[in-house]
Amino acid sequence: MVAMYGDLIFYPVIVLVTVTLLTYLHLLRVKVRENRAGRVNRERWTLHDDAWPDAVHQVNANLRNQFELPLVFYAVCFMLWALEAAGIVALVAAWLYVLTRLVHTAIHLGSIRMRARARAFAASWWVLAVMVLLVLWRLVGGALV
Amino acid sequence: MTRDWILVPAIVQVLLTLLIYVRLITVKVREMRAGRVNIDRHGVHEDAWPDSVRIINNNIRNQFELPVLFYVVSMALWLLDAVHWVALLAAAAFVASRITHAAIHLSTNYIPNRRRAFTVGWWVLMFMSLLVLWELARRAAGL
Repeated sequence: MVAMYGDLIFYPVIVLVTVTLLTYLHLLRVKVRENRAGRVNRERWTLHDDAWPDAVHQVNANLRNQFELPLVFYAVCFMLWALEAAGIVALVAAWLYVLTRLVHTAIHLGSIRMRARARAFAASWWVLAVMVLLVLWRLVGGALV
Repeated sequence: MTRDWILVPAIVQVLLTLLIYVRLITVKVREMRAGRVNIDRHGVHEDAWPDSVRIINNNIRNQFELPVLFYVVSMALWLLDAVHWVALLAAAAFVASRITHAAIHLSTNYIPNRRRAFTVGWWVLMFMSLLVLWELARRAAGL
């Protein structure tokens, strides 16, 4: 099989998947640390989120977030590939999306700076909106031809 | 082109999801200015936000449950080249049920109607999964 230009769209996809997987490592590290420090309520930790200290909640919240709009990002990348619409604009947008998500995660896990986090999130929202418009553009264009 | 049409309802569902974030930010800013947000806790704890925000958060969370399966099933239909007017109609019905569900959730939040809209989406998605299975069975039978 010859590598196709459109296939490049899978690089940002797999990078974001890897970021999510690595976040689990961070979660594990924080959990072990808090557990050793005796800050976990072992009577409740199997079922109740409140058994964990805030440091763990923070990572959990970020992980939950990785399964929200990033899932739409994956779907949109697949659509761009399927429609053979993964051109240079789509590629740049996809990398920008991953970059803004990386910044979002770094802020989320490093501190509680809500304003900066909101800005990174808003940037990723806009980039995703552009990617959605690219899909729509192709679908509408295809219908007209 | 025909099979690409299955991506139209999918992208409409994506647009719906993106738009609910716009609503979220609008309400968050409003509540913040009104001083109804516990600034000490809002970084990590959802209870720092008033109900008006949490209701939208709940709806957003919901958009990443069954609709994610809808994306997967739609793409499976595309990949199998099993897009026909029945599949298109079902996909359109799913998105219509989701728009109705979100509209109820974010306005009156009258649970019996919200549940009805959700149930319609559930049945349609079930049907779309059967369409995928049907295509696979058809192929296995060499038809």
